Amino acid sequence: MDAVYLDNAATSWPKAPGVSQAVAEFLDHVGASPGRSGHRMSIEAGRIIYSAREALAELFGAPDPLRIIFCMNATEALNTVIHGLLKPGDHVVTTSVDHNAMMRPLRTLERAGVQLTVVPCAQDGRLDPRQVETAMRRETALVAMTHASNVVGTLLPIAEIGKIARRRRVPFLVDAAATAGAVPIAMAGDGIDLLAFTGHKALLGPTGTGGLVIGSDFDVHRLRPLKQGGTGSRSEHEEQPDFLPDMLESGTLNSAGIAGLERSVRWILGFGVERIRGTARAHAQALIDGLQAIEGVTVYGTRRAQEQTAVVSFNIERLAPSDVGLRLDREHGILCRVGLHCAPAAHRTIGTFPAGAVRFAPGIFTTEGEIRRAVTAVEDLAIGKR
Amino acid sequence: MTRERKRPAAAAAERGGAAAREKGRPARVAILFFTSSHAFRAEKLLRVAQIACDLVPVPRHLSSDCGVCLLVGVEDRERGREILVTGHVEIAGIHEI
Repeated sequence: MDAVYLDNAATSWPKAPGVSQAVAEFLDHVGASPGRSGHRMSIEAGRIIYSAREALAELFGAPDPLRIIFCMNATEALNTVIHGLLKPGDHVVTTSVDHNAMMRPLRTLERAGVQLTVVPCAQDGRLDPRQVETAMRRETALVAMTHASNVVGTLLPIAEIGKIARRRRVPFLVDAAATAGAVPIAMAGDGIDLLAFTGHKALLGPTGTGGLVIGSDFDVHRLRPLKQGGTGSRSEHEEQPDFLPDMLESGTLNSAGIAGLERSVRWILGFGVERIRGTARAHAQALIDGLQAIEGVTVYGTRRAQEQTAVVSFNIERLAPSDVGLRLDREHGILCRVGLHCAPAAHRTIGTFPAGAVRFAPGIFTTEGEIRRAVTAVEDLAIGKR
Repeated sequence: MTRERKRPAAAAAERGGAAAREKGRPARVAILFFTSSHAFRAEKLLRVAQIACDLVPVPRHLSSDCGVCLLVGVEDRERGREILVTGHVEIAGIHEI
């Protein structure tokens, strides 16, 4: 029995065409360290890294490729901003559907004197922008939130929040781990100052890639670099460079991974994010409709595909999510993620804490037949419990 | 970069340019950047503008840095510089070699 991979919200699989070849080509034929030496292999490595910056800048509507900072993942990018910007006495606004990648660094700083307001989202994950504005204070130094719930997929109104933040002159940080590559994002149009992305989810690239996009209006010198170290520039100085991207990119980059990411982002640009979004909507609606029709199954979230990503969470009456996950895998070959999805606040919001839920996350390469197989499998488990 | 460091570098660059002219080699200028990322952007911009250029290690007498610089013909110096400034490339220095 072929497996049906519905865990693309954890990491996408398969990757975009050519990604594994790009990584192998880099390791086998380019190999060298970018931005360090001046020989032809190093120069070629540098060109690939720069091309990846250009592709990402195009994808996110960012005018300057050199304001794309490579990190290990979205978590590192979020930490770069949260720990680099905030100081005791500052106030931050976030939401109750945010992931632990946002919540944990904020909670850590809260113990050090940063004030935090977690704006509650509705049970379906929706956020009222007015509540964000109400939560803001004179000392608000950052508005930070996910673009979409990683649990129920609900999209947050980032363009409206961006306007509010801009009007109040407060930097706006968006966690796009769940949306980059799957939902159109425009740095300036959405009023985003800082965008954290990961390469291995909807960007269809390798794990260990991701980064931070820094908007044109954000003064980067407000960030204290998390890491200091070798950058290949200003080597005669023992002080950290104060220019981008070097200021925030100490140590050798994951060059082979970034070569893969370059290939996947170019593939996405060619295919079109709108087209990817259309497929995601169709998958989400088919799952929502199929699962909702099964007696004993509760589907969480807005249950409207146009208001969410292709992430559908549900539970089967009288069955623990962990048992459902195991049986879907063993008996039906359906691979998904169960539990709390690193987002306890989100599960409290939708009412599934502490047991969690079962999450189906199809990807761009998932077929309609696979979606049908998944729905039939859930039906089979639910019938057995009646 | 301090003034004391810049002077001998500039003087050496001048000597290099003179030597090239004496030997009949076409004189080129080395465009230096603060970071190799700017060098890669510069290379792309000049290639688009069809200005011949070559990414090479920064000559030791110009900088102790470990990065790369861009060589262009002396005749393209001003046009190249303008393209780079317009393209938001930060230039650390231009030296005749």
